[in-house]
Amino acid sequence: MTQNAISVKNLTAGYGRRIVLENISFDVPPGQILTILGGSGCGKSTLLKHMIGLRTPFAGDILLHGKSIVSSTGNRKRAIMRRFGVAYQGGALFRSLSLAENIALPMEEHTKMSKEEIREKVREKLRLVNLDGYQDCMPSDLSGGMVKRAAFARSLALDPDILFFDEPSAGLDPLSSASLDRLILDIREKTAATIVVVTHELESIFTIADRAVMLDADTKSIIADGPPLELKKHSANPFVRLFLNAGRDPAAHLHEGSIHAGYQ
Amino acid sequence: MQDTNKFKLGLFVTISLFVFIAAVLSMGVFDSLFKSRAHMATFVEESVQGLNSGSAVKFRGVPIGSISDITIIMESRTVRIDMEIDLSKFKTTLGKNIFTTPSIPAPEFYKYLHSEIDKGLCCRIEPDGITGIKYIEMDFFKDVDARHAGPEFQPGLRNGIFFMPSTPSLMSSLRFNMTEILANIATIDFRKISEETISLLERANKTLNDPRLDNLLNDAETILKKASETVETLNGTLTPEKLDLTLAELDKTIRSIRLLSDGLEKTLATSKIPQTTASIRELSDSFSTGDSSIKMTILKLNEALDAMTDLIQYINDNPSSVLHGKGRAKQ
Amino acid sequence: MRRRDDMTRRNSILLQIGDVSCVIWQETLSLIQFIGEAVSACADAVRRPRKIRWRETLFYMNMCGSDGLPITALICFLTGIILGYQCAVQMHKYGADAFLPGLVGCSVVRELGPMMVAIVATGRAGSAFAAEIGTMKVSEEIDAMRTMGFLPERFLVIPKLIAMTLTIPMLTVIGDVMGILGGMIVGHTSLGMPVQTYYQQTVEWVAPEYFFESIFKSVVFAVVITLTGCWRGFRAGNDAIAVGKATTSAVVISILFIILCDTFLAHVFNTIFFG
Repeated sequence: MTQNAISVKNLTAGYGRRIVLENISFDVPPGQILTILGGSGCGKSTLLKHMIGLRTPFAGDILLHGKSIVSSTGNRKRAIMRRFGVAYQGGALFRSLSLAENIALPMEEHTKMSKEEIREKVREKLRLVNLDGYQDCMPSDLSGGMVKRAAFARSLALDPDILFFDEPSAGLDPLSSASLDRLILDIREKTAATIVVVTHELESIFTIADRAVMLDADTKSIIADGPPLELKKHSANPFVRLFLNAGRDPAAHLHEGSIHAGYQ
Repeated sequence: MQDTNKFKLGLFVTISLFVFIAAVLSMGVFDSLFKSRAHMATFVEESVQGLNSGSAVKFRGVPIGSISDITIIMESRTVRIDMEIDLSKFKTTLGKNIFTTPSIPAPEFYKYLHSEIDKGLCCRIEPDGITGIKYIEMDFFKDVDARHAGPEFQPGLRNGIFFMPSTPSLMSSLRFNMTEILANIATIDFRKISEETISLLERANKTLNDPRLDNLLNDAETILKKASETVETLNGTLTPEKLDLTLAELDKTIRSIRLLSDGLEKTLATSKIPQTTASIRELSDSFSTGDSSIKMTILKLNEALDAMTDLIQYINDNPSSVLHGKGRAKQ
Repeated sequence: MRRRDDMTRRNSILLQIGDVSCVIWQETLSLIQFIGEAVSACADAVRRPRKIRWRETLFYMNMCGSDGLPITALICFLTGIILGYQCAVQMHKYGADAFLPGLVGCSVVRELGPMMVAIVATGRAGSAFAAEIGTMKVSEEIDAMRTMGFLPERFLVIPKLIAMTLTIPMLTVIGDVMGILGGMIVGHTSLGMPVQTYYQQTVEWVAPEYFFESIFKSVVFAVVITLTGCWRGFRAGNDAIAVGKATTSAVVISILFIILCDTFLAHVFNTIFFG
C-alpha cells in the first residue's frame, strides 16, 4: 500500500480557548481530489490552516507524505512546505510584483535554476492556467478569475505533490467558476498531484471531487466522508443530504431552526 | 514591482553625500592631512582643569593650533601638554598679496620661537571667559619668570618636538597666594584658644553661680537702700534754705556773742579774758567755716549716692561686668 | 445574563489592570520574538547577500529618502529657525549672543536633527510599513509567503531595514545642515551676526564627534522605526480597521521608542564618549 499523501490524526484545534475541531482523523491517498465542505464557521479554513502548517493544533498530528508538519520547525518545516502549493481565497498574489515575478519568486528563492530556465518555467505554468501573455501584468490589473488562476500557477511553481485550494470559486461568476473546475481537473491530469479543495460550491464539489469530507460546527467533527454523489443520495445524516441538495431535499425532514443551527 | 525612480534616488544620494563631505571637511576632520604642522610641548605644575585635547592654542590671541595630548609625568607630578601648531598661520612678511604668502617651514618656525623665548615668550593657561574652558596663550608676560624646573624642561627642539617654557597661570598664582595665607592661618592654634575660652567661661559661670555673690549683691543693695533713705532724710531736713536759715541764725547768735565778747573784751582787756575770747573766736570761726564744709560734704555724699545708684543699676543690667569690667555702654 | 456578568467584571479596575498587563506582556513577548526573527533574518542576509531583494531595497530607498527629502529638510530648517529665535531672544538678554551658533549647532546636530528626521520618517515610512504588512496580512499574502517556505521577516523586513539605515543617516546629514542654516538666518537677521562669524562659531563648537553621534543616532532610529513599523504590521488583525490600528500604533510606539533610545543614547554619549 502506498503512503498516504495526507493523514490527519486525532486533530483537535481552535482559537484561544475555543475549540473548533475535535478529534478529527482522515487520510488522503495520493492523486485524490478531496473537497472539504461545510457551512460557514464549521472549521474548513481552520482545518486547511492546520494542514498547511500555519497554525499549531491543540492535539493530534498531521502528516504530509509521512512527515509531521506539526512537530517540525524551522528549515525542516519549510522543506515540507515547499512540497505543497497553496492557492488562497483572494489569490494572495504579491501586489508589488508582476504576475511572472509572483510565479518566479518561489523558484528564485528555493531552486538554483538560471533566469532563462525560470522564465521558461513561468511561461509553462501560465500556459497551464491559460494566462500566457499576461506575464508583465500587475495583480491589480487582473480580473478575479485571472487572479485565481494566477494563484494556481504560483502554487504549481515548485511542482508540488499536494495542492491546497481555498475556496477557488468564491466570488466568481458561474462561467469562471466552471472553468476553474475544469482547470483543477486539468492540473490533476497533468501533475498527478493530490488536491485538497475547500469549498461550499455544490457545482464544484460534484464536478471535481473524488471524495468529500463534511465538517459540522455543532459536533466539531466530520459528519460525512465519501464520494459526493453517494453522500447526496444515501447519507445517513439528513443535514448532509440537505446541504448537498442545496436545501431542497424532500427526504430530509428538518426544521428551519436546525438548518440555521447547522449554518451557524 | 513599481519601478524605482532611479534618477530621483541618484540625485538624493548625490546631494546627501555632497553635504556629508562638505560638512566633514568644514569641521576640519581631515585638516591634519593637508596642512603643514609643527609640534610643541610645554610642562606646567598646576591643574589643567578646563583644558582638553582640542583646546585652542593662541599666540597673542591668534588661534594657531590645538592641544593634541595632555599627559602626566609621574616623577615630578608635572603635566605635559602637547600642541599641534598650524604653520599656515605664520607668515614671514606682509607680502604683496597676503593670501599668496607661503607659510613658513617648521625649522624656521622653531628658530623663530627660540629667538622669541629669549625675549620672554612663554606659555600660560588662560581661562576663556566665564565658561570654565581654558586655552593656552603664548605671549610676553610682564613680571613673570618662565619656569625651567630641570634640564629636561629646558626650552628647545628635541625629538621633533619643541619644548616651550611656561609660567603659572594667573589663577595658579592667585591660588598659590591664597594657599600661603591659608597656611598661615592654619598655624594658629584654634583648638587651644577655644579650650582656654571654654575653661574661662566655665570659671566665670561658676563664680556667677556662687551664692556668696548673690549675698554680696543683696548686702550692697540693702546698704544702698539705707544710705538712700538717710540721704532722703538728710535732704528732707537739710534743704539748703533751711540750712541757710539755721546758719544765719547761728551767725546772728555768733555775732551777738561777738558783740558780747567785744564788750567783754573791752571790759576784760586788762584781765586774762582776751585769751578766753580768742579761743571763743576760734570756735566761732571754726563754726563759720564748718557750715560750708558740711554743705560740701552733704553735696558730695549726694553725688556719691547718685553714682552708687547708677553703678548698681548697671550691675543689675550687666552682671557680667562685675568680672569683665565696664564694657561698651549699652545704647 | 452573561452580558451582565461581563459588565460587572469589566467595571472592576483590578481586572482592567490585569488585562492591560497581560496585553503589555504579550506584546513585549511578541516584540522580542519579532526582534529575534529580524536578527536571524539579518544574519541570513549577511550570509547570503545575493538573496536580498535589492529591487525592493531601492524602491524603499526612494520612498523613504528621495521622496521624504523636501519635507524633512523643511522641517529641520524650521526647527533651526525656531530654536535659533527662542535662544536669540533669551540669550540676548544676557549678552550671550556669541553662543547662539554653538547652542543651535550642538542642539540640532546632536539631538534635534536626528530626532526630527526620525519623527518625520516614522510618519512617512513607519506607518507605511505597518500598513503595507498589515494589508498583506489581511489579503493572506503573509500566509502565502510562509507556505511558500519563505521567512516573511527576511522577505519584508530586510529590504526596508537596509533602505532605512542607508537613507535616514543621509536625511539626517541634510537635516543637520538645514537646521544650522535656519539658526544662521536667525542669527544674521535678528542678532546681526555676520554669516561668516556664525559659520566659524558653528565649526568651532560642533565637533566632528557630534556629527558622527548624529549619524549613529539616526541609524539606531532607522532600525527602531523599521522594526516597530513591521512588527505592528505583523501583529495587525485580519480586517481593514485592524490595519488602521496597526498604523496608528506603529507611529505612537515608534515615537516612544525613539525618545527612549534617544534618552539612553544621550546618556551614553555624554558619559562614555564625551565624558
